[in-house]
Amino acid sequence: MAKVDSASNRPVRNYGDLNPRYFRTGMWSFVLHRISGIAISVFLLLHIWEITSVVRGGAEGFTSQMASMAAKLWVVGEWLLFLALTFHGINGIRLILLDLGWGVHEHKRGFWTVFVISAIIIAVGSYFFVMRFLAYPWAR
Amino acid sequence: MKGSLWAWIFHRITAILLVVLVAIHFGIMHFVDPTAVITFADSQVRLQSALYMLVDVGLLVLGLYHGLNGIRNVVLDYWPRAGKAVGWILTLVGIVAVGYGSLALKAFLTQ
Repeated sequence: MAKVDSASNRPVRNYGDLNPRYFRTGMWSFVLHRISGIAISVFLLLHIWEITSVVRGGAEGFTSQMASMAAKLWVVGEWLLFLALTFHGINGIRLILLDLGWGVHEHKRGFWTVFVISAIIIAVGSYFFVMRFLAYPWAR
Repeated sequence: MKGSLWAWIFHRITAILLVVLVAIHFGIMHFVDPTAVITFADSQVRLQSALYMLVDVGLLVLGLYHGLNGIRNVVLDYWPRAGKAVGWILTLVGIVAVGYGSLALKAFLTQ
């Protein structure tokens, strides 16, 4: 602490930008994009492992693998994946538009547009996950 | 153009394609019949369609490229010196994953 910015005469927070308390819309977009991206990448590798059960166990191996994952806990995981994919995709479109020069003077509006569109898609899509959650047993 | 510039361009091209492919994939698997339990027989019927197979192959290849290149970008942000080595490791992971994943897609057509 104790460092002082000479122009504004306010104390400078070391690593203050790493505390979520001080995040603003842009930092939230960056952090959420990064966390969701890493999570989806890890999921993708696990997903390939789960689907390739057909290589290791044939048709029966695949069907029993899928049946074992038709349980409530996995639905929660799929829903979290849905949140990550939705935000990452919508925010990614914003990043590409920025690269093309769209909205570079209206960052704030871009952040909020992404949050609102993501929230709408998540709200509508979550209905299907609730139906799946209710239909599946806790464990198989 | 340097390699990293191509990586940057491909990251964006794959991003646009993945938005479409993931929406199709996720919509079919989760929203068409939300309470269905996946079986080999159903998946096999779906994968008989060339379009469906194209979507799955696209997801496998483009998704792995986009995801692993994204991991590489994160590594470059925090540990730039390891960028090259990590890049090669991730390339290897990608090649193995595409190869092994292709075996699964092939199994649905041959079994």
